[in-house]
This record gives sequence, structure tokens and C-alpha cells, in this order.
Amino acid sequence: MKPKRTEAIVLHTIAVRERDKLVVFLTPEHGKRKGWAYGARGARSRFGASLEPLAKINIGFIEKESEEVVRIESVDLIRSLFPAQQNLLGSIAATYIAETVDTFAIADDPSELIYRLLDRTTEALLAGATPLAVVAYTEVWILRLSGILPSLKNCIVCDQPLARPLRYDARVSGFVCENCTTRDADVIPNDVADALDAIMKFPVAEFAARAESDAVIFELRSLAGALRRHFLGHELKSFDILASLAGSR
Amino acid sequence: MTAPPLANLINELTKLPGVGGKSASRLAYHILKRPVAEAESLATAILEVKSKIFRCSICNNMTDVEPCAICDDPRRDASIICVVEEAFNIATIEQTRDFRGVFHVLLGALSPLKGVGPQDIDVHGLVRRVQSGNVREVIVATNPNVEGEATALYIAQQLRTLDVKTTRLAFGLPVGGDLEYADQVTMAKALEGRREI
Repeated sequence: MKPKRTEAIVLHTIAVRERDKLVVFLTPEHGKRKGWAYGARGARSRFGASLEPLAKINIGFIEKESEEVVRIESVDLIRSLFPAQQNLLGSIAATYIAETVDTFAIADDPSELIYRLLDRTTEALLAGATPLAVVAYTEVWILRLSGILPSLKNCIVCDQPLARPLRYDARVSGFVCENCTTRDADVIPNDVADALDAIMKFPVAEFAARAESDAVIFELRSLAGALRRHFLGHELKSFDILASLAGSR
Repeated sequence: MTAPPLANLINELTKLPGVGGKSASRLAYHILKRPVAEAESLATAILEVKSKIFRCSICNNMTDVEPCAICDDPRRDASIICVVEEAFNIATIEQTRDFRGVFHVLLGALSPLKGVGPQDIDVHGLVRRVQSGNVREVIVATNPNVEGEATALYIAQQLRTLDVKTTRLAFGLPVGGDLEYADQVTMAKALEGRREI
């Protein structure tokens, strides 16, 4: 059987048996896949560092119609995130980004945009961008690509154009205009709304270079977090750990 | 249909790490074929390990005496602490016969995806040992993967203000390996950690 070859980014791995790994990876053409990497945990494994989280690789795998998990045949490392993971916050942020993408990417569903988002955010981390700015960018864009981010232009209730300041109403999970607003709606400060616009407009490296204040990043992440939790019904596992380490800097 | 006692044994064996249904079944049938004395001996060994083995109050190593044989050995250099993720990692380092310091077992590694944060591993115990004095060097021997590296960075951050040298095990090429098959990260790390000969 001829192996399929594609570019991929490793999302996470699970140690299995004595020396094997179950690898979850994202590809542009095949979406999220799971594959067995036999012998990958051995000191002299042919896979080396190429199956570490967020490594960009060329992967060759064999899939059988009846099996959900493919067999990984070959891996060539294109880019490792290891240099960015030499910084504690960068490392935890990378793990959080991987979990975010893993949660929203759909198995076997081609996801070129999500793949490109992950590729660019990883590249930004490697280039030394502020980890939390990259995290905020990823959180907002993953909601957008998953169809969860409400319109920033029109009121979710009456569809009228929105004016500043933006108001977010958690009860309807969207932005509301002045006429539809209630006491429960949160007013989004204009600098946060500007940052939200910038996320939509600019590539991640350019957004990170704007050096938004910690307060703006915090507000952006709170907003994205509220939308994400409302959709998922739970929080991501690495959220609290990232929050505790970001707070202890 | 499998007899209930046999099914029960297979079910219990599948709870062991790395043992799937087929392996559990093979092990159970193997036990069944062996003499009763052998099965009793296995059962006794399992019960004994659970009743007699506990964690050393100093280093978290698994022991049947307090403190453990390594912490209690006057020939060991207590000023050098080697930090490992799990107690079974101690055996790997002890096999070298080159390390004469003592150990500290973290009881895990930072693993955000498993929800394991700094409060879930024993870095506080390590900091307390360093603060109590006479520690010159802490060698971080966590696994050379993302989780192990994050843990090493966290330990270094926690020890930064204390008067102790913190080092990390070298990364590099495996002895007997072939340069041709080294990936770019391992090769870069090997170059970074090169030494004069």
C-alpha cells in the first residue's frame, strides 16, 4: 500500500506501550488525524524530535479504510518549535495553542485555514512574538474559523450596524447595538475593540508587533474565553496553567 | 464465554500501563498454566509492595526504610541533587555508577494538556531542600521533551533567587547512533553542547 504524504503540524502525542506514541496531527488536506508512531519513544528512534508538539513535518502515513488511526511510516522535520519552548511562558502558550486548535479542528475534515492559522502562530512564537498576544490572536481566530465569533459589524439581535463602544451580551453570545442592549451587556473599551479589529485585519506577527497593553490582551482573552466556554460548555485543560504562569511572571 | 474469575483477572491486568486486552488475556492464560505456588508468589509480591513500600520523606524515592538507602548513605554527596520526574528514573541514572549525589523525585512533569500544573509536582520540596542549605548544584534530569523542558524551566525559575547552581542534562547524539539519522533539533543541541577534546 502506498503511503500518503502531506505537510502536517503535530498537535499532541500520547505515550503508549513501552516505546510507541499515538500522534495527533493537523494537515491542510486531511484535517486532524491520529497515527501510531511505532518505536517513537526510543532513544534511537528514527522519528527523533520530529514528533514533539507543534513541530511542522512532512509525514508519510498508511491508512486502512476500516481503521480510524493511521500508521505513520516516515517523518521529516521541517520546523521545530523547540527554540521557542526554551522560554517557560512561550512553551506553555504553545501547548495551549495546540490544545485550542486540537479542540476546534474536526477529524478528517480538510482545514486549510485552521492549518494556516496554526502555522503562522507557531512561526510568530519562534520569531519571538509576545506569547500572550499570539495566544489572544489564536483564540479569536479559531472562534472566527469555527463560526462562533459573532459579527463585529452588526447587532446580533436586530442586525443594525454596530457603533462604538461595542457591547457584548453574554445571554445572546453576541454584540448588541445601543437599542438592543440590556443592563447585563458588557461595554467593550474602545482600545479592546480596536485590537479586535486589528486581529481581523493583520497577520499574527503584525498584530503582536503592535505591543498591545497587558490589560487589552487580558480583555481580549476574557471575551474569547467567554465565547469559547459558552460553546464548549467547559474550559480547556491548559487554560488555568497558562493563567497561573502568566500571572507569576 | 470466559469464566468470570478469568475475565476478572484479564480486566484487572488491562488496568496496567501498556497492557491491552490481548496482552492481558495472554498474561492471564499464562498465570493459569503455571503452578499455584507461582501465582501465590506473584500475588504476595504485589501485596507486599503495596504494604511495605512508601515514599522517602526527603526525596520521594520509593523505599521500605525511612529515609531511603540513597538519602541515608553517608558516602553520597548531599550537596548535589539530581531532579527526576519519576522514582523509576533513578534506576537509569544509578546504572551509570557515575553519579554520587542524591535525588529528588518530582512525582511528574508540568503537563498542561493533562491539567498537571506547578502545584501538582513537588518543586516546593526541592526548594525547601535547597533553602535548608549545603546544596551546591541541582541537576535537572527531566525528560528531553516539551513537558520535561517546561518543567526544567520552571525549576530554574524557582531556584533563580537561591544560591545554587542549576544545570540541565546534556542533549545530543546517542552513543552508537549515526549522524546521518540525527534530526535538526538533536543535531543543533549536540552542537550547542559540544566540548573540547
